[in-house]
Amino acid sequence: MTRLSAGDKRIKFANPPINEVAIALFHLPLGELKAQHIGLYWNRIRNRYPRCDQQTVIISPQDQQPPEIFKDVPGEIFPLPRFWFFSDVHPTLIQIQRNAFLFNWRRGDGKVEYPHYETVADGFWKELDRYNTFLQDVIGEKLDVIQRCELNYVNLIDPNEFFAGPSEIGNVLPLFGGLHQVETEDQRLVGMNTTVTYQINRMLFIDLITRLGVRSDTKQPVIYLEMKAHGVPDDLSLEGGRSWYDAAHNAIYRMFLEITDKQIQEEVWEPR
Amino acid sequence: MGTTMTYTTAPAWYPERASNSGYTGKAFSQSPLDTDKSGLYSAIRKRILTASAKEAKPRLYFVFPVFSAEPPTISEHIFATIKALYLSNTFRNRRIAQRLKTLYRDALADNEDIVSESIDQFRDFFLANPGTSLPKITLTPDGTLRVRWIHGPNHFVAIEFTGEPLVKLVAEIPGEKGATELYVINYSVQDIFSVAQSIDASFE
Repeated sequence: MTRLSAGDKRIKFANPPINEVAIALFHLPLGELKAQHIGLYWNRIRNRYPRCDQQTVIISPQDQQPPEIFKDVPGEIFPLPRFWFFSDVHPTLIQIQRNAFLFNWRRGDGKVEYPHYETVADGFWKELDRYNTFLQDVIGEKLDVIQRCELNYVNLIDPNEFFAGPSEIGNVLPLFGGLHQVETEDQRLVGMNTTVTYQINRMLFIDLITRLGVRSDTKQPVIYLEMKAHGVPDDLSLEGGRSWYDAAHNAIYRMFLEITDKQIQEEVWEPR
Repeated sequence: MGTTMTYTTAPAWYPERASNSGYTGKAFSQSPLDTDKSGLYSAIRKRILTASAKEAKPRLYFVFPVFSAEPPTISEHIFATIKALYLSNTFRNRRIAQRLKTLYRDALADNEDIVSESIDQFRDFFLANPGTSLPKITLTPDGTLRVRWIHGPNHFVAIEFTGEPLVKLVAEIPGEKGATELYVINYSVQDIFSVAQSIDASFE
């Protein structure tokens, strides 16, 4: 059996447990961006993203609370929310709000094959470029000063030959293998909820979020494993963001290989 | 497409976290502000709820300090300063924000530092004094920000944001019979503007 390690050639899995990937860019708030402009933007992408929803704004952790720009903008009666643009026929989603642009790939009903990071990142940069062009055309602004970059991988690990319930979490995440050892007849491990943060370098951190529980739709046990890289390029530039995202992807890739069990990697997720 | 996984875990505290995540999974409940019908009623309700939330007393059983797992960085500091100037919605402050961005990137490229406290003083001065014109803004070899309003030969006012408790004002002001008076004054950033006015220094 070949042992997988992060030092080897880049591994791509045939059945990765990835449920969703989100690439987020927080930038200087655009005070000139108003509701009427959102319609103009949608018109540019509507053939590919025919559906639109409104959501509450995401607050960057550095802001602690919604910046004034979300509440008190001259000439604006209602606060500008976050907008989703999506389609029923492809798995990507564009999200925009006054200070952020996000691009998601979502597995949805589970029948979509994960196209891998390079494809998702390519989609992100193409859509961001179009959005930037739109901003320059319509409000005379462009995204320049970046506040924060995020690359977020959400994995859902459903029951398989190595994981049937909480007592087998160690077969997936060896770090947590000892948790069920404190089980007795009158106490049982049923859930877990942890977040730890690793610093990769001065500009890059990864929040490792692990949860154990039961899915409400299937009533089956599930492990939720989220790896969220966050930080900002030193020069706060969009160009600096390109290398930041690639470094973040590399760090997440290495962390995934290190924290998940080799056997499940090889026999369930199947390296190509 | 569009359906996303729906699941629960125990203990489940992460709906709050989800509001700050790019993840779109339906397990993350929407906030109460987001569940009502759209339209005027919803907007009014949002306003009322927002106002109520501001007035509501915290219901925490224990109080813990605000903390972050990330050490603060100079780039974060620069961003916050640029944002404060940019959002103050004056043309002058936007130009100042752009200049600060350029100086910061040049300093990075040259492997130089900008003194963090100097940035704070710089920001505080311009936010407190919106009536001054756009000065020349430079970075000193010490990594502090310096601004100058030059009116002509032997006629200028400059402030160096030292990062120390007192900022430094240097001014040459024409006096009577063609003489030039030189002033060097160290004062707090809060009061340096009125001190400069008292010696007839001009920020036009």
